Amino acid sequence: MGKTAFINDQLFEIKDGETILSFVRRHIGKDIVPTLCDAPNLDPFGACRVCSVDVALVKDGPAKAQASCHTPVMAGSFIYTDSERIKRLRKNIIELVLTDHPLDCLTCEVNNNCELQTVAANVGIRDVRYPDGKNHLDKKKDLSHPYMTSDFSKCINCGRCVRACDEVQGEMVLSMAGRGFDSYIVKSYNDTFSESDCVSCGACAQACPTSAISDVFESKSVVADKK
Amino acid sequence: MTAGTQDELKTKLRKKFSAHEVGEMCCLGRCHENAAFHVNGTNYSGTDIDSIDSICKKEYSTAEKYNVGNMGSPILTNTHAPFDDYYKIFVKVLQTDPLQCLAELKDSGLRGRGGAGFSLAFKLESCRNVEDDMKFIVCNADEGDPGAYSDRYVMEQRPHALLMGMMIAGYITGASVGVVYIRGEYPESVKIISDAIAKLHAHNFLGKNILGSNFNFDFKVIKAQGAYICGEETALLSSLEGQRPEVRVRPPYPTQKGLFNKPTVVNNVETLANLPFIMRNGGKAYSSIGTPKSTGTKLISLDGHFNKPGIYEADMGTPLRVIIDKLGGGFKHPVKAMHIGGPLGGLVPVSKIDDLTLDFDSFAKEGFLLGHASVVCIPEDYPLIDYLEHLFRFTAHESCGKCFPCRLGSTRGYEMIDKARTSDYKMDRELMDDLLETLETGSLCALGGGLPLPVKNALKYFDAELAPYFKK
Ligand SMILES: Cc1cc2nc3c(=O)[nH]c(=O)nc-3n(C[C@H](O)[C@H](O)[C@H](O)COP(=O)(O)O)c2cc1C
Ligand code: SF4
Ligand code: SF4
Ligand code: SF4
Ligand code: FES
Repeated sequence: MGKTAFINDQLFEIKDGETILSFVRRHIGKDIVPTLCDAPNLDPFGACRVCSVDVALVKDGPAKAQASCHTPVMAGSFIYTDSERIKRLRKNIIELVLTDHPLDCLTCEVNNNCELQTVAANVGIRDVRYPDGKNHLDKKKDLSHPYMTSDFSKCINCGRCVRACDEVQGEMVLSMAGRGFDSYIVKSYNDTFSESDCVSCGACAQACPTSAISDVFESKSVVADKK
Repeated sequence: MTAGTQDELKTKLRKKFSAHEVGEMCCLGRCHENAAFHVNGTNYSGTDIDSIDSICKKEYSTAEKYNVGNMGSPILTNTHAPFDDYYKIFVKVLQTDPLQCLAELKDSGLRGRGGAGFSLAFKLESCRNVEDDMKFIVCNADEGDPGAYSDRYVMEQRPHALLMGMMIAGYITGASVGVVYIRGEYPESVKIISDAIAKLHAHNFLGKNILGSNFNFDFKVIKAQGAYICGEETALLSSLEGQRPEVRVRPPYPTQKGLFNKPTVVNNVETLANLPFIMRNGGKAYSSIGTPKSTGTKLISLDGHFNKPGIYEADMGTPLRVIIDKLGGGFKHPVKAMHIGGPLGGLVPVSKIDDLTLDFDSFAKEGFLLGHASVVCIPEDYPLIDYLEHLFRFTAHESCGKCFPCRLGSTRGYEMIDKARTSDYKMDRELMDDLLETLETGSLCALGGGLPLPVKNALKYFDAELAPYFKK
């Protein structure tokens, strides 16, 4: 065997340069570690932090939470994919996300085909404990374009659309503006899709984990899938 | 004008300027005096406001005074040799093998002064080991910690210690460009550093094949127009590239892929300014000062709550009590805690003063952080709940917005505390603990990751004062 590391105390072989996430997914399955801002074919971004796992250098030694999607596996390390602390972290992050998300899954276009919904169910969120605060729930939908639509009240700021537009399509129409809680996605110069330089390739809609950006021809609605 | 201060100052300024001409700015580095303000590119403070008429006519320059003092074996605050003599250190470096210089640096044990305390030799070595014909030395002079002005002291009073330090770092790593990233709130520093660079050019210490060696080096001064987060090294690099100052994932580390994807060393002003001393006296001379794990001296910024506010230098390992009493002259009025090491540093209650010495390990062991060693006092009668509200508000305002824990958590924490402070809402202690743990273990950078430290200190040491804001 070449270089190895432990996942939940079992020994596995590492591929050179791979991230903890790909190491875990290759050996023990795709659904062990949740992710939101990571997507196949896009550079790791490190925003959502729900992919965090515990990493210790010695067995039962002090562990550090590390985002698996952008941290390379270290040979000989001990990775724990769901320690109590990590489970708590993921749940608490999702709770924060839900403080700024419309809780109307049942009527949402992507109901049952939404990564946020899946992760929320997996981490076992029961309720949102924070008092009401500022939010983006009243963001207007953009229905200006014949193919591309957006509803940024559903946006979780994962940046996948921005990276898709740039890295997959080479267009850089989309970008993140503002800072902190007020960061938001802009299309060209804050226009609507129809006024932007969008070439309607649909890469962003495909990358979006929620219904914040949609492509009328490639609906992620489960009903549409079945047709 | 410095945010949130002084109605009186505003009133005086309003006599000269219309309402829309008077605004608020971030920390101007004048924490030792009150009433700081800024007119047309120059900073003023203290009693300067009384000369506002001549300031407007450009006839007045600031009468800013702060104490500078030291004890032990000062390196940065003692008098430096005149220019020609001082640069003999550099001339000698150019005749020495870079690996020998690196070995001295290793011996010195010098650790970064910008917050994290990371080994300088290690950083320079990893940058040196990456092959590239273009490398950068970036000096982080964004000094954003409210309460810190020691980097400003170095730039304005010891500019050549910093510049020569960067040239030496360039020589060791093979970098040919030094970028000094100075916060826009420090216009005097920008001017003094730029003038010092011009002097180096005039003496042929910069350019190609410096003094007949094969070393090439030149400087670029950047006047930063950024936010607090621009002091975080990867956000700083994004900002230098003209992008949104967003924190980047590591790896790749800047020493591998930094500015414009080239190997880059990012270091604090004070860290780099120690290099000339080490090159002249050797690494062992440096490590003989201070403690085994925190070598050398440290600059300390004391705020206006001390009898003698100012910039002081003391050996690492000096008892905190000695610094407060001997250098600072004690507190002007009763103080209950000190926020040491910037907004992400610990909140040290006065009852812990005798347990602490000025070094990384002592602070870490007691659950605090030395950081940049700025000291901001919290007066006895200042409500801690207001301080916590301020810390969360600061983080929420400065958050780059990239990672979920900090983008959402800092705002939710602020809202929760504000609600408890201004209504009969009581916070849930378990929720607060969950939020702090999420920020601490989940955040991408030390802004969100560092906020929990002072908050936890406050909850621990001022439990009784804060209890009424929580559910029983
Ligand atoms: C939010 C934030 C703000 C920071 N601000 C500064 C700063 O103003 N100056 C500085 O030298 N380092 C600052 N740092 C630390 C830098 O990221 C980096 O660690 C430092 O420049 C490395 O230099 P050193 O090793 O010489 O300390 C900051 C870090 C964070 C997370
Ligand atoms: S559909 Fe438009 S905005 Fe979306 S990725 Fe393609 S070009 Fe970019
Ligand atoms: S629009 Fe979708 S992909 Fe883009 S940041 Fe928002 S949630 Fe992520
Ligand atoms: S902790 Fe805050 S400042 Fe740092 S990356 Fe996350 S959002 Fe940005
Ligand atoms: S999937 Fe790793 S940080 Fe989002």
